[in-house]
Amino acid sequence: MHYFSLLVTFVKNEPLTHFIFGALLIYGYLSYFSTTPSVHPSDSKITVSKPDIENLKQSWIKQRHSPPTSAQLRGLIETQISDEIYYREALKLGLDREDSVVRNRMIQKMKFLADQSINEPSDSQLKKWIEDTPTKYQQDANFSFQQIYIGTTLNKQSMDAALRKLNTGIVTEDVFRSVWQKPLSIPKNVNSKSTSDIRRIYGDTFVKELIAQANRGSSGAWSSPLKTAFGYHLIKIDQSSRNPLSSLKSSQERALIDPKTRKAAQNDWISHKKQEAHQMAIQALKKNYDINIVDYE
Amino acid sequence: MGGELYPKGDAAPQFLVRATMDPEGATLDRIQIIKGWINEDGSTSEKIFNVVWAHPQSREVQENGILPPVGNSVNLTTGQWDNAIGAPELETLWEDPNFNPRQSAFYYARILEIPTPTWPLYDAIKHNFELPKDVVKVSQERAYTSPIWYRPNTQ
Repeated sequence: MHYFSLLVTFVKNEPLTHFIFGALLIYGYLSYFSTTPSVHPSDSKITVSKPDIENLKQSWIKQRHSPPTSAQLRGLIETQISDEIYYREALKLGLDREDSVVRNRMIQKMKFLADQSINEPSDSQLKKWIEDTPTKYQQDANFSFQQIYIGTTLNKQSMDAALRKLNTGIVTEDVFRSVWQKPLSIPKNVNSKSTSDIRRIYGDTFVKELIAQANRGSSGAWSSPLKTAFGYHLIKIDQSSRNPLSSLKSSQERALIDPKTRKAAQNDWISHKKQEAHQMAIQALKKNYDINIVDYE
Repeated sequence: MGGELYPKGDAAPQFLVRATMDPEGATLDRIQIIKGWINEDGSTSEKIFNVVWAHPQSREVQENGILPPVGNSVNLTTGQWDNAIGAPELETLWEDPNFNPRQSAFYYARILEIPTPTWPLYDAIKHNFELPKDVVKVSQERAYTSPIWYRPNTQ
């Protein structure tokens, strides 16, 4: 009895047995439902069954949206027969060996078998995945802001004077012109754009500064000059969806609910699990091989 | 970008052109307009006009028609460059000084950035090897517009 429970534990935990079990399942499924039975190449009997003919008809209808005429059906059957003859003759000649396309296809099928054990993650699995890589699925923040482009050089005196005026609410053309050296054709007012949209026009430095200001709670006031590749800017954030008080937790919850980020996280989790499954399978199978690598380097 | 122009008496066409730098990239050196036309004998000709450039106070078109280079701020060991030279944006209104209303012609704009590293230089820095002397290590990236065609026969 003791040995039996040991055996059960072994089967449950050993990755190789999962792999083999999965492979057997797939093999069984494919054999049962396949209409092209696996043949021994020396078998000289070729049968075209009712299900075979039905399959040919259905494939034709799928492509042409109308059933084949009897001449067309006869043609399909003839092609099926000649293909089967070619296939068996090719097997007899061993043409499947030394073929890189066949080899790669078979490798792909083995990897596919290892993938079969991976299902979609549960909500709690997905939640943990998002928690472990928090920055990747963070929602894009939205900003509404104004910016004044100053130019490529900075005159501290006129800058300070202008800032004082701006921050007491004197936002006139004159004040702008007192700091302008030359206008730039990027928008002065931006209404509720995502950070990725803002980054495209203003660059990464600008976006980083917006986020830093929002986190400091400096929205609503004109900032001291910010330097980007264009030169110097003054910024004032009017509104941001990035509330510095919102917790990391609630941003993760939002990522779970938003369909786009949820799908992205799901796909990442699945490909990560598939990679793990491949590695486990290879580790288990390696034990059966005597591997020799010549000295290189 | 692109389009067709038809005669307006003998008036020469005027082109308004503006280019803004990539905020993650390099500043601009100059904008050129290239004109091509068909001569009386059927042969073709082209001419490059420098229409607006960075640092106009210190750069002037020489007698031979050449505009002095904008400089080179590329560091060959780090692959970085300094946007202190060049301009973030250039714009101008330009009129064709050699206009012949009876000649078929095209015009397109070409914008040059200040010098930046080429891919061989980035690779050499990353993998730490020396490039042969004749490899181009620094170049000026370009942008092109679609051509505007001048059709002398009125539609």
